[in-house]
Amino acid sequence: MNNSVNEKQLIIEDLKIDYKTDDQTVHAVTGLSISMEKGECLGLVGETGAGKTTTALAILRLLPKPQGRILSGSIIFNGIDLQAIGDAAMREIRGKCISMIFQDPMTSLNPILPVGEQISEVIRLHEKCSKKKAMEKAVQMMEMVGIPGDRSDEYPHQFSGGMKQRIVIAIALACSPELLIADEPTTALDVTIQAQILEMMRNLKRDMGTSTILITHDLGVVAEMCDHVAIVYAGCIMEYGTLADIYKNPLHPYTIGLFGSIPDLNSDVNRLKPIPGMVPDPAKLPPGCPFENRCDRKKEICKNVKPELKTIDGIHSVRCHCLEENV
Amino acid sequence: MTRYILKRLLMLIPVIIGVVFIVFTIERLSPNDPIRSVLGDMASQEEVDAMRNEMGLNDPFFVQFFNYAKGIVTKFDFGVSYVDRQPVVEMIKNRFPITLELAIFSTILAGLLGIPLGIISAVKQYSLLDNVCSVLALVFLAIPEFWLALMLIIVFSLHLKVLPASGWYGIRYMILPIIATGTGCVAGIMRTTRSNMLEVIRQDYIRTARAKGLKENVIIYKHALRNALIPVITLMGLQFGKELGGVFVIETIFAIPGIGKMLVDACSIKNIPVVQGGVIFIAVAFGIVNLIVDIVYGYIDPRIFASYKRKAKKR
Amino acid sequence: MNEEKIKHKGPFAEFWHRLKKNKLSLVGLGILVFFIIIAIFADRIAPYGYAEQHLDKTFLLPCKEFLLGTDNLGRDIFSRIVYGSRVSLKIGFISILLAITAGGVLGCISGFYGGVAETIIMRIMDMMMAIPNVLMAIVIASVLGTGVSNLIIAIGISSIPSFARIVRASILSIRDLEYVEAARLSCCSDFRIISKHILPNIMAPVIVQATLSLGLAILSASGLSFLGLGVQAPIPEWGAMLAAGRSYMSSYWHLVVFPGCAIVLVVLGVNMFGDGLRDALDPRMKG
Repeated sequence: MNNSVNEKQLIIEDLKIDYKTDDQTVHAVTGLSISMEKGECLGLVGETGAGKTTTALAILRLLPKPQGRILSGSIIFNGIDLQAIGDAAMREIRGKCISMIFQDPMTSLNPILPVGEQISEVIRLHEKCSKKKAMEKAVQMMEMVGIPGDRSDEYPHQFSGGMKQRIVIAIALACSPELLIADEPTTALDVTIQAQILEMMRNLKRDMGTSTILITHDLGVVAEMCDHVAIVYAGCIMEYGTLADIYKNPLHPYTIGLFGSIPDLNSDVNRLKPIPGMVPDPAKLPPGCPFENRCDRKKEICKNVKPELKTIDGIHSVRCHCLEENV
Repeated sequence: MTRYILKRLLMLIPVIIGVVFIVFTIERLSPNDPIRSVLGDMASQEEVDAMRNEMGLNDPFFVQFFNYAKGIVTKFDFGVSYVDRQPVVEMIKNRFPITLELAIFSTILAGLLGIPLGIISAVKQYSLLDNVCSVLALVFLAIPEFWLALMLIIVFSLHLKVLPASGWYGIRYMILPIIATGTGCVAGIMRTTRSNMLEVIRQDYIRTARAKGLKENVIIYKHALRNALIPVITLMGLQFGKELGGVFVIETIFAIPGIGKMLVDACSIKNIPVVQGGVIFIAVAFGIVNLIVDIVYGYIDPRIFASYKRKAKKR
Repeated sequence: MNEEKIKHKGPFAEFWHRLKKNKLSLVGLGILVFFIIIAIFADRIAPYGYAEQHLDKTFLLPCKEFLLGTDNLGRDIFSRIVYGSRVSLKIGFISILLAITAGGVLGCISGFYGGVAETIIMRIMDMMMAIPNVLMAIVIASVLGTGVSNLIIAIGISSIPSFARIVRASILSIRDLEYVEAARLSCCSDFRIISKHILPNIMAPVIVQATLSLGLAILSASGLSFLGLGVQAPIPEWGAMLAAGRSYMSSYWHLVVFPGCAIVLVVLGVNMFGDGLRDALDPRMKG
């Protein structure tokens, strides 16, 4: 966070996003800031509804209209303000500079188009080559993700879940993007397939040098893939640091609670240890720290004043009032 | 694919047999003597009995049915009209093409208007155009075809005197009947297209297409529309079939010599063979239209097609 | 600890709230209620009897004495339209009730018990659906004859297949759910299971279909009466009024405009309300 702006690939500054429905307004993202360098893999960890997917969609300007609105904050990618550029320029960036993989492979592919066509489409769009060349490259991509190229004229329903997700990855990486956003890419898959997909993504990252934002709620996946980790809760970052920082020295009560709730294979437990209490309703967020109602070391100030994200050591930073004393 | 077609054809046959049986039975349940009704009260009892014998009405029920069915299957003989002894088949042959023209053109018109309106309403949801279209659609669904026909006649034939009110001798004669028949369908097609498009646009794969950086036009026409149209094609096929069965009033009002008018006239005087022939013919036509719709559906939606291919491979 | 009270609305209150927000459906409901009231209080509202003739005052255009004019026999069109609402609504409601009951039973049997019963019933429904609605009604009318009761039977019978299908589909979707399994194993007779567990869940699609079919039924009734196969004179059915007025419409447009408007209004009201009902009962189905 001390480097100059120009070296960072992605900088998100104090992002605030609301979803407005007929009945209420949901505060999905409440002041989120992160930054990434080229080639880095950042893990965004948090429960469902914490605002991770919303942030990802906002980067690509894919928030559902008219409900989703970016209230304030900036998203800068390679020095370009992604909110200020026109629609045509944004379309240039989607699929070519920044790509996204979505959560459910079963519904992410168009059921009436052959898979080869769905891959070559993005190639033809951004690389402006002939149909034939695009299809050749599409077949190459299929092989790279481990699917036989001669299946390129088959339809999505003819593939299994794991293979569908590989096709989705092939589409996302077809134009060699600089940044890949992967939203829970393995959540909907079996554990064995999960391992294969992660391995594949690791290799691709190594070969192509793509930066990745990996959104997940699974701490195990994060440990395998990420360099840096950001813990997201109620729409903002609670703790941020390197993999070692978070896993060896978690400081925020929520992070500690997350690790504590993972059952230990080696010891005998009678009960699981969940974090007591419930996530606050995003339509009715409290004025102070959003974790206050579940925290075991809260002070008077936690109810009224939302803490700032403060750097503790190196890049390890925490959003908590109770920490300056303990460190 | 042929397997798919054959299977559907096979399923059609028992339905047709069932329809023939039902119609046959219903007609014979009538408490009044149809021959008496046709010949009138002035005819003597001998004349009535003679004709009853001639038409085989005194035979037991199943003999009648068997003869009738045999006639249809072997000679395409649907019997003769009680009124003038004209073969029913001839009557149908002369009149069916006319009804077909009316139904086809109305459906095409309805599709040409309804589908684009539905797409625009869906893409520009909540806009003024969308709201206006939705309300108009509701209104048009409520308008009876025959009343619309009468209003059109009043305006265009009686007051403005630009279009004829009856007959079927050329394009000018076709305009009003087609508008009257098609307008009701436009509303239905527009609404279905709109709701299908809205549902498709919400799907994940549309979001994937956007994330690729495709232009909105391409997304709508290449990705969304094809998926949304599949049920619409089915609907149009059904509408066409419905129109085949529903042209009675329009043909009556505009004095169009089609099957509808033939049936209505026959019904009111209990000219049973004509009624039977007409109903069966329409039901079969309806069934065939549904079959064609299913086949087209199978062609457009690769999933259905493929499931049959896979089953074939397994053997 | 700030514990916020979660406002829990029961399902009916939710439904009512959603329904109220849809202005179109409220307008539709209003129109429907309006016509129901007119139908019930027809005797008080209509200034003349529906068969009351004034042979010296035929073909009058709308005026103070006769709000919507008079027809070829000098009968007050306004009064006839008012009484006509009674006829149309009666035919519509009763025939739909018939169809729901018969279709519901058939759908229940085929959905719940399956097997041979299901195959037979559904094949028959297919055959009935192979004959277009109006055609079926015409055939039945040609056999049974004309008149209000026969019209109700004809329309009712031709509406049965749609309800049978919907009931069966709904039952199929919940039959294999676990709580039904549990009920079957633990206690209840089949009848009890159906009435207590299954019926509440299939209400929604049945009600939606009912409003759709009601509109169609009223349209069919007027269409058949127009063709002369339904209601007979002098009973003031709107479709029949159109048929009678047709011969004179070149000179006297008011004979055909007003009864038609009545038909459009009622069916429009039913459709708008039906749309609103559907959206309120299942917001996912909203277009």
